[in-house]
Amino acid sequence: MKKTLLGIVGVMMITAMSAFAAFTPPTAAQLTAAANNPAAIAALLEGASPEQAAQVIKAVVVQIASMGLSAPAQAASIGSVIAAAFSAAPAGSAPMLAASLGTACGASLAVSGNPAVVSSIQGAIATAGGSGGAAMAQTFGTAYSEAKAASQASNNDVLGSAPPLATGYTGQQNPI
Amino acid sequence: MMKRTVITAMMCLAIISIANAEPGNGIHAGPWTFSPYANLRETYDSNVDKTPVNKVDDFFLDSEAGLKMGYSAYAIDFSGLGFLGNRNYSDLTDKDFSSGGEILKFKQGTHDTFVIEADQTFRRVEDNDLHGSEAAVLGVSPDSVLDSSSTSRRDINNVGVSVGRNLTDKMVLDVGYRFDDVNYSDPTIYDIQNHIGQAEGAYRLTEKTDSLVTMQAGMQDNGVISDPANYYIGRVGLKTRGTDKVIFKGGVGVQLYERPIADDITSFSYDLSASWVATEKITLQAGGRNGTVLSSLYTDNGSEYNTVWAGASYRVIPTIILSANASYRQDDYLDPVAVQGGTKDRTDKGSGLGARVDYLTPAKFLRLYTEAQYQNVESTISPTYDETRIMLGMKLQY
Repeated sequence: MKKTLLGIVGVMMITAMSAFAAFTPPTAAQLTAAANNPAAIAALLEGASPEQAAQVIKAVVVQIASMGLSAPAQAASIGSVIAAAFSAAPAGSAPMLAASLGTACGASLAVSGNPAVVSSIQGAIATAGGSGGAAMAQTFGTAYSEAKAASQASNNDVLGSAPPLATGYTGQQNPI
Repeated sequence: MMKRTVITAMMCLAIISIANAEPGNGIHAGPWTFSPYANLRETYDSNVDKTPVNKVDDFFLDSEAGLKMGYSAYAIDFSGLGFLGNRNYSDLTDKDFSSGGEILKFKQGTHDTFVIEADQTFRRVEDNDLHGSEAAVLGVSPDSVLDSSSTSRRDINNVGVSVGRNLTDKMVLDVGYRFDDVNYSDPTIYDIQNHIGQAEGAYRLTEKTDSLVTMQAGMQDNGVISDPANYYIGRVGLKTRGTDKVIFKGGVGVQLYERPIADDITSFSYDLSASWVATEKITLQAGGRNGTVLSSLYTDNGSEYNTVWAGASYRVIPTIILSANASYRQDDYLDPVAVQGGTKDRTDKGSGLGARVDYLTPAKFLRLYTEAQYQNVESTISPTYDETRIMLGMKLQY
């Protein structure tokens, strides 16, 4: 059974690795340029899947967060990035982009450790999404919360945390 | 030593001087983020020794200091946590203990090309493992290697690595391996090692629903058993993707548990979790899972565990959050256990209730909370006991 399982997994992985994606990952210089000129992000998203696009947006937002801007300027800059990115998203892909962005941000301490940045992103999605913006912002928030709770080495909070791993039994230790 | 200290201090100053830092938001320097924190918590414990009779109560102070750090760039995320803690009892000072550990997580790539994740943690803990929920590598819960004495002092090592990618535009595959090692300080409690490999395939059924096939193969050893126990699990299930209010992931299937000196056991296997963002203010969560673990208490025994939980949080106003949770765990030992005068079937049942209020102060770096926990534990081989803890705590985070 073990050999069969390993064989199946091996064949699937080799098949998977032979695939090719059209998207070209951005360079650090391109990300920095997009942080300074949000409209430039659209060109970086050509051919990107929602997951790849979310990673690009996250990386640009991280750059903005480290620029030392005033709170209003930072929110405005992030808003411009989100607006440009969602405008460039292929038709029908915006909800999945919102979910992927939530997952990417939840797993990034640079974003999740800065509540003002998270709030700016969510607010900008609500605006950029037009009539469906509120639902997309909710989708972002749900995915963000799940990713933050599940995949980040963070200081544990009770909200949304897992239950006690096992209830205590030290009064009932080995009777032998 | 002095030279190294000076250099380290100068490097820290240099980072802070070029970084964008604000209390509560962390220190940001390019793709790097640093966030030191400190926690203080005073607790009243109604039954420190967790005994059914002659209960002794006491107060204790938990203190913890640590540093979170992260690196985030395109398709790369790294996060780390280091912490040191102490517990000091008011009267029962011989029970004082220290704890500490680290957690490292790394992820590179996307499923469109190739994604790799690696996780490593070491934790020296006693009583509840406050950082245990962060060590669920591969989605495999840490309690799959914990026996019923899990609050004893122990060193925990977890290492995991997984890779994955989209096989087609509708199919995703993730494959991984995880190693768990739990070493108890008490020499009468056997250490546990667990190796587990997992392959999980997801196939898109609808825009927001994937079907899941999960296969696991594992090996458990407690160091004294003649041969390790092997287990194989196959589950099918569903998970949501890109939903706005409901997150669900769950599967049901079969487990085959091969014991070295007893008959194999085939049993039902499940692992379910769900959360529902009911309103902007209310979130509900629930879940459950089961499994079989090799015993740390008996040489050739093990237990089938079932654990379920539910929780809710309510954001009254932006600065005040109420939350509550309930959990239940049952351990059924595979073989009768030795007791005075013979043997007896052993089943342990533990249930817990918790309630908490968080206050997010206007100063973003400070959070205050109060919490109450009640726990009731019964066993077929010993009397029932219960324990109540009332806590008041604060979290400081730069």
